[in-house]
Amino acid sequence: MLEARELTKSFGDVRALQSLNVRIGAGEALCLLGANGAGKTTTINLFLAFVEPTSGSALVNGHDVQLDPIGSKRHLAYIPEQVALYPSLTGLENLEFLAELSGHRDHRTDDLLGFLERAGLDAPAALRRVAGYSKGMRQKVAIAAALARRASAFLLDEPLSGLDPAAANEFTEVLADLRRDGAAILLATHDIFRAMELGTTIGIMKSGELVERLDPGSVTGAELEKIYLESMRGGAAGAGGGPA
Amino acid sequence: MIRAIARKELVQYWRDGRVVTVFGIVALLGLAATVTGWSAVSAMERERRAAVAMDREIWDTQGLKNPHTAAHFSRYAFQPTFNLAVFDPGLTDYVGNAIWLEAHYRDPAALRPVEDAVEIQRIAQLNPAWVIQVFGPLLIFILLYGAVAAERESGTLRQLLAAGMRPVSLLLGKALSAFSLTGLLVCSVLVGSAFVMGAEGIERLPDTGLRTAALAALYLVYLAIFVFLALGVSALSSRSRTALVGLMGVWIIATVLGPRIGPEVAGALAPAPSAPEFAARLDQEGADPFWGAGEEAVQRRQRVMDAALAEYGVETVEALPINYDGYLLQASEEFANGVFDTMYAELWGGYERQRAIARGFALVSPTIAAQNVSMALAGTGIHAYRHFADEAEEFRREFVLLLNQEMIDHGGADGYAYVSGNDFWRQNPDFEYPAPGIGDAVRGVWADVIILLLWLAIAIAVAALGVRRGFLGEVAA
Repeated sequence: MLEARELTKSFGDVRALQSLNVRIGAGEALCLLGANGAGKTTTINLFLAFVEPTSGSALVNGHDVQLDPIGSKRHLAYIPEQVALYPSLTGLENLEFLAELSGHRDHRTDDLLGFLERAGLDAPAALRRVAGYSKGMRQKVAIAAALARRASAFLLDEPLSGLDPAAANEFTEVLADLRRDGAAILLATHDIFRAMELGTTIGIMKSGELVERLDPGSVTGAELEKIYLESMRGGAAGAGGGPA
Repeated sequence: MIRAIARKELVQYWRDGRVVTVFGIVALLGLAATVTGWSAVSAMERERRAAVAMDREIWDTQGLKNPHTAAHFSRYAFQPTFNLAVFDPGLTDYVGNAIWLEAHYRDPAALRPVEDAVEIQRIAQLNPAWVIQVFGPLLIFILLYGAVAAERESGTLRQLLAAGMRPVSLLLGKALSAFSLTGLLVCSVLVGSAFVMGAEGIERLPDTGLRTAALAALYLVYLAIFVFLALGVSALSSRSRTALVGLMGVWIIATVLGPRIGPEVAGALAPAPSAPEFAARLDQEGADPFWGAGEEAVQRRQRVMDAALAEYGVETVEALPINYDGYLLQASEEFANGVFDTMYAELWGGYERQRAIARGFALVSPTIAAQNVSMALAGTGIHAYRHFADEAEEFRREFVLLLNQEMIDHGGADGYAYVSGNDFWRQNPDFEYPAPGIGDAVRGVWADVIILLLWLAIAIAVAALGVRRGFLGEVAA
């Protein structure tokens, strides 16, 4: 579970995030839409304890990330736009390292290959060095790492940018599977239609504030796009939606 | 976690051709240096043994000669080149290993290079210790300049931290990997040296095992200093290229400039007398006040004669039951010994002042301190040489006394006309050098040990600062 309570962050005079209150339970996905600088990445950084909040708190599975940064990350997976791996290691070796890093030393090679396969990377590809991997393949390794560490909460920072449609679709399907299996997902994205596919709630952020919360079942893609664009211009169309 | 990071690093090193190449070159240099060291020490030992045998042969067969004349003809004291000189020859090539043992004179000839003892430490030579001292830090810097900075640039650092990795674990994992590689280098070079050190014809130093273990510990501490420095600089640098430039600066100052500039400044601030100047002073101050025509010398000789007459209860020199010329010669010897003691104490004190000044530069170059400790442990430093010189001098005094006593006891009224033959020469002892134990060896380098430990503490502090500032900077980015 991911929870933000009055989470606020200022950088000097700039208010990057203003009193965010969200709760993403097991099997739920909050997809945050917003222009660059709207506060999406700051929100993720706060959940990762990379920055200290000015006020409020962020919790992962009940652990306050500032009070227990290591414990809060035990079952947390983070997938950035560009997944960085070690190019001289194979996908499998990268996965093995990332799993060991999170304390899972008990996985056998077959287990790890299984995680990679579930993430969409077959064994021959997994045994090749990462230097030759595409962006999509790197993300699959990151997903496999999340599976290996039995992550129950996911933070994804624009992971769909730059993926071709097929890869984006495949990635979204894997995430949807994870959500159905009980993962709590916070996804920052610009992709309205993937957000509709994956999200149980869609949030629109502007200038550090969550200005809209929408139920994807209650709006069409075209309506969501309209609301999003209008909110970017300054107004909030206010289609309504339950709390995330 | 630390082990996983270290293992991953080692795999990356192995697959990185540049690292393998650099490590291979340094290992080859170490091997070449070991072979060169063994060859040099073996040759020196062969020459020494031949010279010892020849010296004995010449002494034993010199024929009829006045014992005191023989004391001027005299012999050499040879210092063995011990096994650990294979690893660190230190000053071996420069101080010489033979001292001429002559009556009335403490031979400074073998000391001439020692007068430049501090300066000669500047001279780089291919030996295993030097390879570790200079190339060990370079290898570490090449391995670690990107330890944190490159992870930051590639984005992996952010992901590792997101995965719950503690910054200190990353540093320790990286330190462990670099340390195991360089430790492997040190151990290989030491084992290689130990293997050839055991070769036939090379003399073993007392406590060789202990000294070797201490050398291993010394170099592991020395390399640990550079490991932690590299990690700290890498963590504090925004880019790996910046870290590399900074570390190359540290390397040049620590291993290249420091060991050269320090002794240069020491030599300028506390100049030692030149060899000819010192030899002339020895000659003059050891002889003139006793044998000269001045009032003081005449009175001194008179006092010796009065003492001899009183000792034997006779009125005239002619009535003495001994050879008075031999008696006078021994008295002059004892007078000169006092002069030599004073002059050499001044000389050694001058060297110590030079060393103290040069040691000050160890505060910017841990290599200087490591070199001093390494030479001391290998028995090739200035203190080892001084020990040999002092032992040789003690033997010289006993040997000259033996010869003078022969003349005093058996020369009767023959004066300088008294001669001994080969039977007597063959009874005379050889100089046997008792090398000092490890306790004596390290007595003069405790300050260097403390400086090295201080450096280690500073390096750990820099790495800790890197953890605090470098990683906080990363996550806030």
